[in-house]
Amino acid sequence: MTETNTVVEEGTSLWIDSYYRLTKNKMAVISFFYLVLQIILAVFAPLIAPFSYEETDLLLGAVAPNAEHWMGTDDLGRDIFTRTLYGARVSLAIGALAVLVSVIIGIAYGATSGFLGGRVDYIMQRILEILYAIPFMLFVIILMVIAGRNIYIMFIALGAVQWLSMARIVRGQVISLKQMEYVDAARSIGVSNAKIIARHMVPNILGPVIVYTTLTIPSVILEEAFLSFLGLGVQEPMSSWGTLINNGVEAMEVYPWMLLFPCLTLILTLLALNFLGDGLRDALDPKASKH
Amino acid sequence: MLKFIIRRIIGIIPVLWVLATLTFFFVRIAPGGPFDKDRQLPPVILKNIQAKYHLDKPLWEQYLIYMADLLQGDLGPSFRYASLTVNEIIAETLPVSAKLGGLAMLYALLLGCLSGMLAASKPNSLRDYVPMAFSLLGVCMPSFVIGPLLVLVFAIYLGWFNTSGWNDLPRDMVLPALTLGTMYAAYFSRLVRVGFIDIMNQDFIRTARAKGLRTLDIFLRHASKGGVLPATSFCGLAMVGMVSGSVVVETIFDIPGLGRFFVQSALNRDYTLIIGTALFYVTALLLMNLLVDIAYVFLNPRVRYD
Repeated sequence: MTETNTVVEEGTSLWIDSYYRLTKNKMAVISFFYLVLQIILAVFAPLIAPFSYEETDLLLGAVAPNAEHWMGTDDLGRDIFTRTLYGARVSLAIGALAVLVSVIIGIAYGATSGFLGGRVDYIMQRILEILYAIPFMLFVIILMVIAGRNIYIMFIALGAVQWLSMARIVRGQVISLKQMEYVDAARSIGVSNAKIIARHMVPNILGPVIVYTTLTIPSVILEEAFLSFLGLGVQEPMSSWGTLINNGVEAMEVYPWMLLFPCLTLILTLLALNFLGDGLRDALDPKASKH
Repeated sequence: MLKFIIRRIIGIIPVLWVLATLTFFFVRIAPGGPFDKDRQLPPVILKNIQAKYHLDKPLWEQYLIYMADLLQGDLGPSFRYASLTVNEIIAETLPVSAKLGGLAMLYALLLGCLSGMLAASKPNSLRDYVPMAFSLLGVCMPSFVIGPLLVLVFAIYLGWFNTSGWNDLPRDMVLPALTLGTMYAAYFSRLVRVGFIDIMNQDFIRTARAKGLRTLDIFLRHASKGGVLPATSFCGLAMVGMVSGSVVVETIFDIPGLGRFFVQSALNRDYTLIIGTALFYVTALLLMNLLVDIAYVFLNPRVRYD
């Protein structure tokens, strides 16, 4: 390996390689476009939505799916398609924000633990093991009750309970990177720990972090829906997939479409995120996915 | 081994103390007490009630009283259900939840192990793809989605089961257990598959094959111990998940278990019941996790906890 332009080529080819591997995975590509569509629909929901999400039409009542109301209406005459669109805004926003919180905490904790090693690592890992056994959702429920169902607090709380696995993965990566020669070299010329982490570690753990982030989004979306389903998350007249499913459960005997369409949207989105996550793992980290 | 167990049990105590303290202050800082909902009580009565529950004392004194009781295993009286203590409520509702959780776990492990082994017996064939497709779908089906869908199909359209209720009959337990367990069956299935494929590539399995043993015999005799390892280490997480899941399932099916009481106590600001239930859950889960870790040592002699 010479220090000329061949190095540059090799530097880029890793990502290009991954890109090719990803595009060969049909399910991952389909999922990617589905998610892009879902995001566009969510962002432009106010422009796209054919009806208002909060305006009720009691005279209309619950109507089965038809040409005007593609997914039917709920018992208050609100268009389910519109409400599902607006629900996507909440669900996707929480997916993005809570995951950001979890990524920051997870990387900070995992990198510190793995990098410092020794006794600090031991203690931090024991703490992590204990945290794994705690049903955090119950404490999030308590927090939501106390905080008065504030959705911003929910964003942060859900992110704050999702970082455990991220921390583990980052720690494992850091420990294997730590033994690399270029890190030794950096240390031998007196580069500070903080700088080694920022310049050498972080860029190299990006792959696994991207993969795991994609796989964390579905669990955060699930947990938001879980809270909203219990009536502790998003409040009426705003909608999220969790509240829609909750409303659907109450009316399912008479108006099954109120349950089916929000469920379907949620399942499809979660499936797409899982396919994309698996595809990214195969593409970015071929070693980890022999099976 | 004994040293490890004792150390782990001692390690649980500070965790419980931190959680109890945090929840105690957390809940009391919150606006709205347990007695200022509903109608306004006459001042005298309110004062008496507050005195009964020590709410008139300074916060630190309340905390000391609570901690002293906690040390003796007494979780205090419920604020909402005046005649009941938290211990009584837990004793009353736990059997129901434990039965539900146990059934769901059994179902998840059975289905997960069988389908995972089926998939691993011939990777990248139809026998692998079909169970794995179902398991991927199962991972995307949380309890509050699959529960209502099961009710819609099997209770409302087909009429095989009641839509809700719990009369301690096996028939009433089927749908709730399926609802709670399916997602974990899906996870177990994937983990068992990976575990078995890993083991099947090892040398000692090739030797067994060379001896002419049938795949089934190899699976059961040689590969089973190592094959279930990844799934075993997931058991702890699955139990944690099932505890939160049971909150939803008990709400959907109207089951008088601990999970439903937990949600209600949170909504009622029943301080002692919230903390009591949460602490109880955490203790139970930490102990169960310890059991899982011990089981892990027996399955995998390479791991030592000394």
